[in-house]
Amino acid sequence: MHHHHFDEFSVTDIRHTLGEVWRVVRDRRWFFLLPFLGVSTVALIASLWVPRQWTVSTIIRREHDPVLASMMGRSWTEPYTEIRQRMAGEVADPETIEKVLAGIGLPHGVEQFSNGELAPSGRSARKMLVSEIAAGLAVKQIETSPNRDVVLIRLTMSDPLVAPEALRALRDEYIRKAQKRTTEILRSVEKFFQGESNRCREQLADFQKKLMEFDVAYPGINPDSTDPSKTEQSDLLVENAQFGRQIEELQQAEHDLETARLAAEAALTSMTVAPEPEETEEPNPEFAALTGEVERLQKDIVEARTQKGMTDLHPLVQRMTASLESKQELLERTPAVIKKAVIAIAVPGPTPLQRIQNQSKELNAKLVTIQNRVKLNHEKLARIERSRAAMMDQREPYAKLKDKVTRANEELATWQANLGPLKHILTLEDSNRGIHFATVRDVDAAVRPSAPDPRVALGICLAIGGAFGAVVVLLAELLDRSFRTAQSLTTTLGVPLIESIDEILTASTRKRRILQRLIVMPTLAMAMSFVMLVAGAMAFMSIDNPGDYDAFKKSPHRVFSLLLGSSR
Amino acid sequence: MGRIADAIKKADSERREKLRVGVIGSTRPDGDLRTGAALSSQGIPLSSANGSVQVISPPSRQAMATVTLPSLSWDVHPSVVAIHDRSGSITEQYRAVRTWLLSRLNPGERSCIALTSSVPREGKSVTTANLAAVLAEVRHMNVLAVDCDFRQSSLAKLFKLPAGPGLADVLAGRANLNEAITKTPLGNLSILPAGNAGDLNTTELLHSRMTSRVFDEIRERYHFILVDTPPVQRSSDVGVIGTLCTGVVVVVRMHETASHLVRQSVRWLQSNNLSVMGCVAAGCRANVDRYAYEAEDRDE
Repeated sequence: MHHHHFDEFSVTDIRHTLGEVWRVVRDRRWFFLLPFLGVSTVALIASLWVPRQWTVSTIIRREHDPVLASMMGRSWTEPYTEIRQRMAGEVADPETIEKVLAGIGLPHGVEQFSNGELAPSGRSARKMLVSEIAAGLAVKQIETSPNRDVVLIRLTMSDPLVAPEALRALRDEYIRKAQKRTTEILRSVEKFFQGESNRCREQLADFQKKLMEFDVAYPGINPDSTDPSKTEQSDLLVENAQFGRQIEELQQAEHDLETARLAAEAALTSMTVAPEPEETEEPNPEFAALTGEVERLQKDIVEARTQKGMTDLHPLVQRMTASLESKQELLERTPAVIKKAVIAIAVPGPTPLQRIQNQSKELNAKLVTIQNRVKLNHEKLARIERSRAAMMDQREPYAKLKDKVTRANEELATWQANLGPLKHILTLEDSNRGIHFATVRDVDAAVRPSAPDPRVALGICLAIGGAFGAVVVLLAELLDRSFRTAQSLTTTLGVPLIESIDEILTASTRKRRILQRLIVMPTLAMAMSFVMLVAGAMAFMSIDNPGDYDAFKKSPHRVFSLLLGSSR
Repeated sequence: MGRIADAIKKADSERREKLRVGVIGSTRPDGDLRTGAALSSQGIPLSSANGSVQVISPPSRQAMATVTLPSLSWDVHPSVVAIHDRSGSITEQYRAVRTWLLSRLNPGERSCIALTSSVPREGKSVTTANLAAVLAEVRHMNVLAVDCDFRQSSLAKLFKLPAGPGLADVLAGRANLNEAITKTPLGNLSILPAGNAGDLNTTELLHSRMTSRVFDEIRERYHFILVDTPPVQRSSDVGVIGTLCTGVVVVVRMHETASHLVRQSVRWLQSNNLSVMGCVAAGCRANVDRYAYEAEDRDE
């Protein structure tokens, strides 16, 4: 493969190509040089009419209010960036510019009606000026810190006399608008914060209402408070235990009565009557305990309403009220005293059987009552267990709701924390003690145009000339269809080449050629170069030093002294 | 510096020596004597202009002899280098053309070659003059250069001879051939100028029977006739003259004449059943055009 490659592009080919390049360079040098010099000169002269752009600038400093500055680092970065951006946009707004120009009477010398209004041509001229200024105006933050901003306002336009005047007026308008805009934005921020605070409050109230509903529907759902169902459950269990003891006692008494009945039946036969049992009354300790609890609850409820300011809807009060009601119901059912039947041991003798049977009936009735109560208690306990299970299911949504409440509280606190200083700033702004502006650098008159760059302009002109020269050379080469080599001649004609005869240079031809090569063409090239240099110097001077250029236009003979001066 | 100066002096003396003594047919820089040998083998005697020669008889194959070129005091146009600079490189190139042409002749054969070009100012008249001059160097070879370009005749001007009477006058019957043909100081070379055609239609003149009679006569008198004709793109005269000649040689001006015009001209000549023998590339730039000019190109 390499071998083929070498064959295809042999050293001879490269030499031939280089030879051709050298031939073109040598034969067509004047084809390049003269068009290059000519076109470059024309381009340089034409560059004198290229519109110049003049740039004027001013720098202003904006000191922030200390309070505002201290807020900047916290939650205020974004709104303030917005303030800057909007202010930069507003100053370049065509309407603002037109208003400013109308204020200072620009452009000068336009047609006006007697009432001072602009004639259509004047309006058109102002519109054009407005669009030119809008396109050339730039606002740039040079330095930004929480304490201050340094802003550069730059105006680039074609009229060096109008530019400073317009920029000064625009700067003043910028400052005025910036102050106004700052206050407006602060007010809108305050409104926003206030709205957010209100929203948070409403949300919080809603959440708290839902929490209360949970508390009422599922007592004890709040893990931080006591569970009333637990107390009720333990009370029922204690009561059941007491009922169990009573049932045992009643069953014992029944057994004794049965024994007595048997004895009575036996005695009936012997006509002996069994002694009547005696009844003793004792105060019921359970009654006393319940009474105590009822009193305590009543006292707590009163205390909650009076001292703690709780309403009847408060979950704690409701819980206590429910507990009180259940205790009172229990108290009603609980006897104040316990009648203790002392069963007299049947003494030998006759006992009326009928009395024993009555006693037995009473005992049985009591036993049924107590058993019913036990059954009722079991049902209550089951109900409590069910409600507790349901309450446990609602614990998670309840916890989430509580989290929401916490967050809403925090958010509300944040808005409230921002609102305070904001109100303070607005008070300062209202009393005109807010943001302060100072002009760091006033608008200077432009000495030289900012565009085009003199070096770039020269480069472009020379590049145009060079490109034109190259095109001329290429065209000359392309359009030259003459034979250049003996080989091409034989190949094209298909007849043998007898001989190649060198060019016969007679003395006069040689002389003419020498004259042309060494004198005419170099002289022409030098003359054209000189003209191009002068054109280049003028083009450069017209951009780099317009003052000197104007002086040159007035007295062209000063070109040499100016050139010498600029070279120094 | 001393050695360089010595070398220059030596080269100068050698050049002067060469100017004084010419070597016919062997003036190639490499001293190749084949041309002279080839010529003598064809039975054509080599001679100098004044006849003071060392004769090489046709049967002899020792052939080459050094002849002393006469110092001509003939004032011709500077572009006729074959007379001005007889040992110059360009003259050598014309000699190479001569060799090429003579090599195509059979022993004893006479030749009439028309030289033409595509457009004016390509160098055909200068080529005709120089070629005629180098052909006349060949001993006993009578050479006639005929100027058939009635519109822009230049052969007489090149040799600085009277412009008339010439061929036009002969064809018009205003003069006879002997009056029209001018002998030159180069003994073997005669010139037939174009003469003055006046208001006569040159094409009609050339189409006349007189023309063929004149050509028959000059072919009888001269060994080698070179006819300078008008350019193909300007006039169709060459189509008429060519039929009276053995062949046509096209002169092409390098770097100037558009290739398509040359190609068109050659095709036109060929379509008129003229024998285009070859072409001569004139106006080559020394050391430039020969860059791509290899030996095999010449062989084609």
